[in-house]
Amino acid sequence: MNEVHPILEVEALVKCYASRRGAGHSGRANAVDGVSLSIAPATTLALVGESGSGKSTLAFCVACLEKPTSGRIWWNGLEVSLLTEKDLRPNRSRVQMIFQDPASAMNPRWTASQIVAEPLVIQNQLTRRDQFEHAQLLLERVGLPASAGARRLAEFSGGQRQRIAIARALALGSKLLILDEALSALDCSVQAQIANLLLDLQESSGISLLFITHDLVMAAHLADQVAVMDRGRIVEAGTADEVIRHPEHEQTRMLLAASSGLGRVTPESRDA
Amino acid sequence: MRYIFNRLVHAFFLLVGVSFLSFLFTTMAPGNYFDEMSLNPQISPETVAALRTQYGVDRPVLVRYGRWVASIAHGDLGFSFAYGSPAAPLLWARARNTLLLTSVATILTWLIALPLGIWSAENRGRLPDIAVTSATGLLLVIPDLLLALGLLLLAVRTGWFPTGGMVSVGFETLSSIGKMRDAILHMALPVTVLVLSALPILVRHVRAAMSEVLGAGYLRAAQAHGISRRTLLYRYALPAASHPLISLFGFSVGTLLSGSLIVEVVMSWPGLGPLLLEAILARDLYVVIGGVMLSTVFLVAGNLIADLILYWVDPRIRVA
Amino acid sequence: MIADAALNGCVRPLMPALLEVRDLCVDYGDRSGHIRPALDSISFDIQHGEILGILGESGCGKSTLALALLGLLPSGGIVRRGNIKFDGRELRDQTEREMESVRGARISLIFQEPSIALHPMIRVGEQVARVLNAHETLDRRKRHEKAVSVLGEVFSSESERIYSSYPHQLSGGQRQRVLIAQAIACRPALLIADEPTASLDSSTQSEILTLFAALRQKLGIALILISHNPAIISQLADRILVLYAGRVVEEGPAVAALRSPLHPYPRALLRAIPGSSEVALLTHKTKLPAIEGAPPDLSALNHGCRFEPRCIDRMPECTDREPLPVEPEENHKVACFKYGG
Repeated sequence: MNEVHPILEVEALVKCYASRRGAGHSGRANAVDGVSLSIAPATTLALVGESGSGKSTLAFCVACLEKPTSGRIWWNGLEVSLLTEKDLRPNRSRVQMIFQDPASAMNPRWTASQIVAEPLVIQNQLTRRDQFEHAQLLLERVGLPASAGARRLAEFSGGQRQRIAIARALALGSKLLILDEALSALDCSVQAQIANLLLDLQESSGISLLFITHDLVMAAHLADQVAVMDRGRIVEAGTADEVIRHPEHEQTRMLLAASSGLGRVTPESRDA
Repeated sequence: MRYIFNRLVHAFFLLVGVSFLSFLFTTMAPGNYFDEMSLNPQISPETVAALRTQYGVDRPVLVRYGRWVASIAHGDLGFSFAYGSPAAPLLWARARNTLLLTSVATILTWLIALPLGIWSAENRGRLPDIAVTSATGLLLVIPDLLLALGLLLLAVRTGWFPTGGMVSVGFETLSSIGKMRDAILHMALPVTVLVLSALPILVRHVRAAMSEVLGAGYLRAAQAHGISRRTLLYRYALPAASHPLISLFGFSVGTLLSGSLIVEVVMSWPGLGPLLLEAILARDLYVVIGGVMLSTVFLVAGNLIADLILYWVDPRIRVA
Repeated sequence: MIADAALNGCVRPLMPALLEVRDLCVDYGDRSGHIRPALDSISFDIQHGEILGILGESGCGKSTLALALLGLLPSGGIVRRGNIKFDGRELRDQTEREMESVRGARISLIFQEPSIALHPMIRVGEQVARVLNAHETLDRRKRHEKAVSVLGEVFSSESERIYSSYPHQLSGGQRQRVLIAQAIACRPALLIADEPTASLDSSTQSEILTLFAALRQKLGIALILISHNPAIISQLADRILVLYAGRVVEEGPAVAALRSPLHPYPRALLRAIPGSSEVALLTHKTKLPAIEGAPPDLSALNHGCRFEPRCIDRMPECTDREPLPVEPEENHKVACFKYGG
């Protein structure tokens, strides 16, 4: 316990799919091709790439939702790539994934507090009343009004659903949140709100984030480290500041040019 | 092609399975033709015993099944004890009539069910929909048999339709138009009963399948491109809704077929129905099995046709 | 040449506007008779060949506006008042049959999700051909030829192969191009694109925007580009319209209105986007100046300005009544009391 492990460490991860249809239009065999990375406690790593770059596959492997073809994964020093499904289960709560469409992973008929309390109910360590009180606190902590707990998922907007998903991960006591394009479907103004929430949570509870996106500018704003992925490999990595000020790789420059920043309102680019 | 091949292999094994099971169950049923015969005082026990041996009734089931399969190879389909002849010619003549009745009923049912269901779905919650839904609801609760008897009564009272058989006496003397008219008149009642009995379920399925599709994005997009309402319904929505409906097609052949066996008996249509009933009562083993087998073949064929239509309609199956 | 004029900055109407929307109000009623206003007093013009960007967050009425223009409001939606004058015709007076001949032929709509806007079981070329078929009488062979040539306008190569593909065989960007082909097949005067790049990759996004620019230049088509993302709009639009909670809060030339917006809402919106200014890069890992709260519930509005509860510049009069549009700069209107309203 005296040694500080990274929250997440990945070494030479490879994931290839048997080349069947639906493996993407490029027909590549290796979705992830020898990726190594690590995330220190209470920091954020942003993984930036186009769709098909392998960033989501990598996320699924890291979250142990898919079995990598080869490579090693540690969660806080525990080598999860060696564990069986049964041994893994008690550790699953350490790492949680949040998707672009959080509603797809939740029952739309449940109320917000039911969704957030579910992990507590499963762990069964608190009384029913405490579970729901705790859920209520978590909902307030992610910035939802006190009345939100009783409303059903279908009544919430996209940004609010994302907040509920985050509250649920907090209920599990996760140390690492993997956000897979979690902001991409949201309005710009709501993106900013959720981004602030993530910064807030990191500061107050030291949670680590793996922030997966194609928006390099938002990534650089939120993250300590940025890694750019292309065709299954990490083509550029460094501190957020380095990557955004001195992009080296062509893919990084392309992502930077395409990213959500404004200030390119020039007639030249409009005539392109 | 692989898809079609798979379906054919599937159908083949289904037929083998059904044939064996129907063989097993019919032979396991208590009593047989010769038990009935031995009750007849005019036939000596020796004759019955000789016949038993001749037909191999006392041999083990598997042996008899093997011999029956061999007889299929000869095109005999076993032997009818009651008629004293191979079962196949008997069955063929009747099967043709059943097939005629069932296919006409199938086609008509679908021709009515599709527009009715689409119309109902398009006007969901409004008057046409309510009318269609209540009418089909009513039809659904009336037993087929009652429907058949009611129509028979109507035919007897009015004399508009013949009350039985396939053709009138003296059919051969009629002109070709007269023959057609006569055949249609004879078919009218049994076909009506069949259509009315199968219609409500189909209409409801068409309505449900269409309702599900009508909110789809590509329909709104097509509407925004100025595609007319009619084209939208029949050339965009219907193909999209066809998936469950095509599977239902195979099922509808089955329901109409089993329905027709009963209707044939009630309306004295010379199809498989009356023959099967006779054969069951007389314990005429191979005719029963043959009848069951032919119905199964029709059913399997119906499902095969459904699979083929699906293959033809849905590119996602055809183009990997 | 009209397109050229539009490209050279803001044109002043030399000829009557292509589309004139005046005081458009749209309500949604539900089954219980509850009425929720969606659009309130929307007025704007579009000139031939002009690109108008409509900026607003979800729920502000952008999509409702697109659908209302084409008479395609979903059930429950009704145009309560106002005029939609297109090419000299009042669209609200047209019969459904007449509207069918406008949609796709004179005004085309491109929906948000290319994955659901194409029929999954029909070859995409056939889907383009069907649009042609709805508006032009062509024999089968001519129709096929024309559909292929329309696809050729949006795909740089392989338009024959694309023609005979099914949607599931195409990528998201390719599907979006097919939708554009459908939309321009009959050479409409106006194209409405509702979040046309929302579901695409960043590189595909810029390809599609480039395509729009090329089409405007080549065909002189006017475009309404609807998006929540100022960056997307800034890349194409000549003029922008900012919607908030069903009302126009600002309208002006794109460059001016996006560089230095007048209304507090777009000002706050732009500040909330990281990297939108030099300062933002230096404030790495600090809180973004997000607009707190959410847009108001339109069925329970107060008297005042709709943005007032979230506004950092609010003044006492903001709660009294809704501000009226004023024009503090030439061609640049804003509805805010800071400028007189």
